[in-house]
Amino acid sequence: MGINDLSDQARLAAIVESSDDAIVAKDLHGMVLAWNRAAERLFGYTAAEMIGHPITVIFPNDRMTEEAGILEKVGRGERIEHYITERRRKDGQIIRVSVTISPLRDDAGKIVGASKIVRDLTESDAHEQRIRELRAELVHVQRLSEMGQFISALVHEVNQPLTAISNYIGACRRLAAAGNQAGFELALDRIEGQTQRTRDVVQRIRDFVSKRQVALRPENLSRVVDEAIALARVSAPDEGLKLSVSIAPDALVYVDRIQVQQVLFNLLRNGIEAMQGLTSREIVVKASPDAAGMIEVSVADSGPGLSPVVRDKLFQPFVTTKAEGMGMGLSVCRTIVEAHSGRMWADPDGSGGAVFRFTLRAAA
Amino acid sequence: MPQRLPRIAIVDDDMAVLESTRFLLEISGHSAETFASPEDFLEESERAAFDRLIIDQHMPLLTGLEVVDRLRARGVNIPIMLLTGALTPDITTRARGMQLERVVEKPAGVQDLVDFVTARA
Repeated sequence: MGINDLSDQARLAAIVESSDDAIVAKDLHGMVLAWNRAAERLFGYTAAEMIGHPITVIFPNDRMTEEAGILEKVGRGERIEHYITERRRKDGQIIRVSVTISPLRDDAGKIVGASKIVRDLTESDAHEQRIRELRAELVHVQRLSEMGQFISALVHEVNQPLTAISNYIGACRRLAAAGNQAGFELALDRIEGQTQRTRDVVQRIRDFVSKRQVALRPENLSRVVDEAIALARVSAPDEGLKLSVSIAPDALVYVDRIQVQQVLFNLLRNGIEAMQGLTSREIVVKASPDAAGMIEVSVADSGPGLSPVVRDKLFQPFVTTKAEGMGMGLSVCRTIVEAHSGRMWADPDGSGGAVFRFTLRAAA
Repeated sequence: MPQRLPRIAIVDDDMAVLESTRFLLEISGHSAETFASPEDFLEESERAAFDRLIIDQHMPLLTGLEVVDRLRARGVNIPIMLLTGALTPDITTRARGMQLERVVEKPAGVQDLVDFVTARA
């Protein structure tokens, strides 16, 4: 017997049963009237276990009060669309879901209950998380590749004058040995020219680091931090790492987003690396207004803290304790913060790990 | 074996490197012709053969190895010194297949350059 041979009612029932979405129905007292196969799969309760029982069986404790509100709206004939909430499976697992609720009417049109379609958001949450991670990775790769290209170009540009200087110096020795004063002077002039060329290249490095893309804009600090964290997590994955952020959701700062993220990225990575091998690994990022009306951001780790040797050299350029040195160095971070009219420093030795702080201008 | 001084070509897109290499070789008693364009060099080498070639790898239009490839394809077997700003395994491998006398990272040692030019063919 094919689907077209069924009566309308039987056909509708078959459609509901075979739907991939969990579909349930309840009366105005919240008692379950119907429970399809997808609901059995999603919640772990069979239809026999649920029908005739309160729907609140699947409500987590902190969501119990929702039911009264839902019933009230439904009783008024209202529909609730894509309401995002949490429910609890038979095994105790809490799942994020999207619920669409419509009034159920009898033949006379009277509202006798509600029908609900429940969609599990776990997968779409996972997708969103994955998209965030991929985006962070893409930005990271773009920056690396941009950085990589810039560095290759630099190496090339420094090498050329260096080669020329090396050749002229070789020539100078021979000219001196031969007593050729004029030739010697000429070679020295050429060396001077090439030295100036190298100085220009060095200046370009400085410009690149401190002034590249300085576009100051009001930015939501919480979002800027979240993206930097996503980046850091992608670049230094650590399953057991506990990361907490305490920043007012509406805090606005006047910054170049990319540059401030570079600072945060650097501090986060340093923290993650300092805590490698420890059982308890935690990073806390906080932001709050300071006495001068700036926003002070702090990044604290639960690592061994800064040794006196390291503390001394902390903000000096080109100092790295890392084999790969992919971070830009604290000296550059400080340059960026100062270009934003802020200050950057590390807390004096305390009982815990390292705490780095920097200030940013508040926007509006 | 030619008794005259070898005819040396230097090919590099950077004028300072080109000039300074020629300067050094001339002080050491050799003369060298310089080419900022590999195409010009290839044309000239067809007109009158060179005895030795010092060539840069990283050039915008044709790389050093590509020039060497064309020379070898033409049956030109002169000693060649390849200079590169960054010696990669890829370059080393390809160079081996083309019988390059030397592959050197820039800046080349002054003695290396002079030795290469004065060595007997």
